[in-house]
Amino acid sequence: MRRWVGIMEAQERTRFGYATAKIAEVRQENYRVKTFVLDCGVEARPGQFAMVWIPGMDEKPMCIVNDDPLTFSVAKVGPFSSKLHGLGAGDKISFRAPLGNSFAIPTGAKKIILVGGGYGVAALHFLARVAKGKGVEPVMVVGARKRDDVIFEGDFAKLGVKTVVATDDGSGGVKGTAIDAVRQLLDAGEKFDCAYACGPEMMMHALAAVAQKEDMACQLSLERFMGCGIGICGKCDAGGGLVCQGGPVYNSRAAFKLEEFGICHRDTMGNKIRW
Amino acid sequence: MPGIDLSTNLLGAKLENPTVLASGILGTTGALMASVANEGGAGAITSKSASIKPRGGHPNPIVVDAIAEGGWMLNAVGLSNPGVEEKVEEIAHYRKLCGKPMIASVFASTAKEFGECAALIARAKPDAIELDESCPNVEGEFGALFCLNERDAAKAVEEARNSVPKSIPVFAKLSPSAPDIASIAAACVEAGADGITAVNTAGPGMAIDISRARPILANKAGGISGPALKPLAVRCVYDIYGKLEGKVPIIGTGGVANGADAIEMMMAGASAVGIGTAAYTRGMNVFREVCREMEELMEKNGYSKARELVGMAHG
Ligand SMILES: Cc1cc2nc3c(=O)[nH]c(=O)nc-3n(C[C@H](O)[C@H](O)[C@H](O)COP(=O)(O)OP(=O)(O)OC[C@H]3O[C@@H](n4cnc5c(N)ncnc54)[C@H](O)[C@@H]3O)c2cc1C
Ligand SMILES: Cc1cc2nc3c(=O)[nH]c(=O)nc-3n(C[C@H](O)[C@H](O)[C@H](O)COP(=O)(O)O)c2cc1C
Repeated sequence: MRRWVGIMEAQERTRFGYATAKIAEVRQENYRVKTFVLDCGVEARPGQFAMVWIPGMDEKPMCIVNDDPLTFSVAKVGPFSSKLHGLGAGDKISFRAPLGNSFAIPTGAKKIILVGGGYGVAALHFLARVAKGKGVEPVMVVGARKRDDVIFEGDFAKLGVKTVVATDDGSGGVKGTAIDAVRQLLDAGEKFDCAYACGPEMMMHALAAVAQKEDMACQLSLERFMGCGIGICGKCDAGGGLVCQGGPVYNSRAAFKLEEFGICHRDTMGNKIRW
Repeated sequence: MPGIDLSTNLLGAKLENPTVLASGILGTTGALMASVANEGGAGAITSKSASIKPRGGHPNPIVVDAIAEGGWMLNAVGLSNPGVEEKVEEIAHYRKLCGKPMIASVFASTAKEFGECAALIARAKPDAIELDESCPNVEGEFGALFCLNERDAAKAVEEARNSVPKSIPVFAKLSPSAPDIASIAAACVEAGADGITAVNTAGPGMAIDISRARPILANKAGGISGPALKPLAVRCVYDIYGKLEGKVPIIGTGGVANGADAIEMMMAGASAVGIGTAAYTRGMNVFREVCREMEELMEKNGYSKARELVGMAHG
């Protein structure tokens, strides 16, 4: 397997920051999420993202779900993600990675709570693995509309991570939102040194509010429409900060300072869309 | 630095230093523009070019970064913007957050539309309006650039000048691809332009990914910016200043990345210095850093006022 480090990395990757690899394996996670495992690795930290490029079509940000081998989990929601879903083992895939900042585990942390929704659950698996490696115990909370939306439950189990599933309709796990589940854990007296979230913004907004009330550190991975991914075009501004540069990970205090956090995001033109 | 005065004046707008955020870089939202001015230290801000109707621009990739490899960057953002009316609100928001001067950029596909768009943005009461007659990455759509011949360039200026209150200066932003940029600048001034911004990106150029054998930019071609553009920009500013005998202010833009570049641009004839790509390479604080470098270099060379550097290279 190729691994882009050292001199090899410089020679293979530096042309404009793009690298091309082949898809080694595709896994169907549920009715709309597929995981793509590439035949290469990069050095990245949990929370960082890649700009995945389909020549002649588009380029979009994707969370790094594993750095070696490089892995993405993609929800089929529109033209770009559908095109990606059409790719199979042996097909080429191009990307710029790693980009953006990452989740940080505070020194001395013993127990952390991870809260995910949608493809964000996959991104947090990377964090759970790194935390475990450091001897920190993660507890995973998965929020979903219904049972079929839950992904990576088996992967967390394999890692030995306690996982709580919450579904809006009660078709899986406990009935309620991810935040309800977090509150239940806290009410039961569990203590966490830090909370982490990747998923729908209003879920993260609610978690940040809980964390503030509980005086618990909290880090969120924000999602905004991205253009260049390197901090020049200004498309991913969240109200005073570029998510591709200052983020995607913000601690809750920094997130609350962004004028548009929990309020709106913007399309490619820059028009505001309320969450 | 005591004894060094960086302040300058751009047709009535007081700039605490001559650095100006160039249009299209970080100029999307009011909050972002305000942080470039307040935290980054820019003397003034140019908003991203707005058109009458909203535009999505080109799909990604919209930027190729070869700054480290070759000193250049390509962009084909494709003038995405939420439309001039939204822009008026972003500017109002900027005004709430920041007291520094603001230049509002507009673009259009006909001279008449330049007039209409300028009239709409004038409602935001910007300190100046900049007419982007020179974006090279929408050529397929809009035909040849406005600013490549004197008649078209002047016509757009005339329409805009006639549609905007006299109290708001109008700048024409020109392309280094024009065969004789100084004559075009002269025609614009003749038609009523109060100032010139020179230059926009050059080219367009192209970069091909060799493992995919495809141009990287979705638009295939894109405007060249960054240090590789600087000698071209300095020559353009020098020519325009010479032709206009220093009578109208020039915002010298193109490849400026440090204090020495800024001084060079002013010596060529720029009253203020636009910085775009370097806000990426050096980060938002580039404005503050360029000012500090200017002060050091001015001190070392015995210059005390930035205003006195303007056109100094013209013997
Ligand atoms: C830092 C960052 C990391 C990202 N990581 C991932 C990732 O790991 N996996 C992933 O699948 N996507 C991820 N995204 C989102 C992804 O980049 C695209 O937005 C997504 O693929 C949609 O592109 P499209 O062309 O298929 O659909 P579009 O036409 O752009 O979107 C179609 C519709 O779906 C909505 N939509 C977009 N994303 C989602 C979603 N996840 N769930 C529900 N609705 C959605 C859009 O708002 C729009 O209304 C990330 C985005 C950012 C900013
Ligand atoms: C990503 C990007 C977007 C740009 N968008 C615009 C724009 O909307 N309007 C405009 O007049 N110029 C635009 N420009 C041109 C810049 O304002 C500037 O003239 C040019 O980049 C040269 O300066 P620089 O080398 O300092 O970047 C853009 C440049 C870049 C790199």
